[in-house]
Amino acid sequence: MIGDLFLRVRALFLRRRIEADLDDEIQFHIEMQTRKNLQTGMDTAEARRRADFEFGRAAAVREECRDERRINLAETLLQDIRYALRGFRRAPLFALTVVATIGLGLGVNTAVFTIFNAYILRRFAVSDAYSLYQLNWLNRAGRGHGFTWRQYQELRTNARHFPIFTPRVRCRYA
Amino acid sequence: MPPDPRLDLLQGTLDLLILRTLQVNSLHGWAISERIQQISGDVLQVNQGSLYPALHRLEHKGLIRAEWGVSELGRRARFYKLTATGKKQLEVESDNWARFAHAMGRVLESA
Repeated sequence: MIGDLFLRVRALFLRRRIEADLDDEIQFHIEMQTRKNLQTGMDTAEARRRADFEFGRAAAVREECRDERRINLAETLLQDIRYALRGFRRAPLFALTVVATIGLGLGVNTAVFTIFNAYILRRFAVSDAYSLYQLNWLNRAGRGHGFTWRQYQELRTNARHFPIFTPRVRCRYA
Repeated sequence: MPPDPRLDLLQGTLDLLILRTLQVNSLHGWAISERIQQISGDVLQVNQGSLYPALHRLEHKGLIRAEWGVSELGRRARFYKLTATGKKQLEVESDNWARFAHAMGRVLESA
């Protein structure tokens, strides 16, 4: 079972390699048969021709080997799917739990990533995020303060060194 | 014209014959077909065209395993080997075949 799975995965990824191996195997067979034919006293060309003939059409054999693999793949895949569906029908509560668990996990994952993406991965939507500054002021006790709207507007009109000036609005409800 | 002494393999017997030839040691495809022909006294002819598909089929069923090795003549060759499942399968099928052959014989001789 596990062996078959291994072969299926191998067949999926190493198609070219498997075809080359099969060619080599067929080639080897024909070589051995040719050698045997030579020992019975045939000349080289005849020995080779007979070996080819006895093997049958190599292309057809190759195709049949491919079929064996493919049929196996399709059949077992179909069986697996049917088996899984039967399992669902037999234990619907279990199936529902699994679906809910996967759904919830997926949903939470997506939500967390969306937040992470917006706050951390994505850069600010300005042309040069590294020239952004936040202005505030500290009173004597060391407490930070923002600016009032009027202060902001005054700063904005006087700030020639800053190309773009936008407020960072913080709402406080009294 | 005398009848051909060689027999075509019955459907389904090739797999059993392959398993049997691999019981003692691993062999490559050509050696398997030679061995079958030899042991059967040239009566059983393995159709080369069905040998390799059968080997692939048995490999997928997990009854045999293929490994690249070096042949008697020093060339790279694919050797087949019985797996543990294959050994069990061989026992079961040999047994089935013996019972089948015995029963066939009895029916045919009863007339």
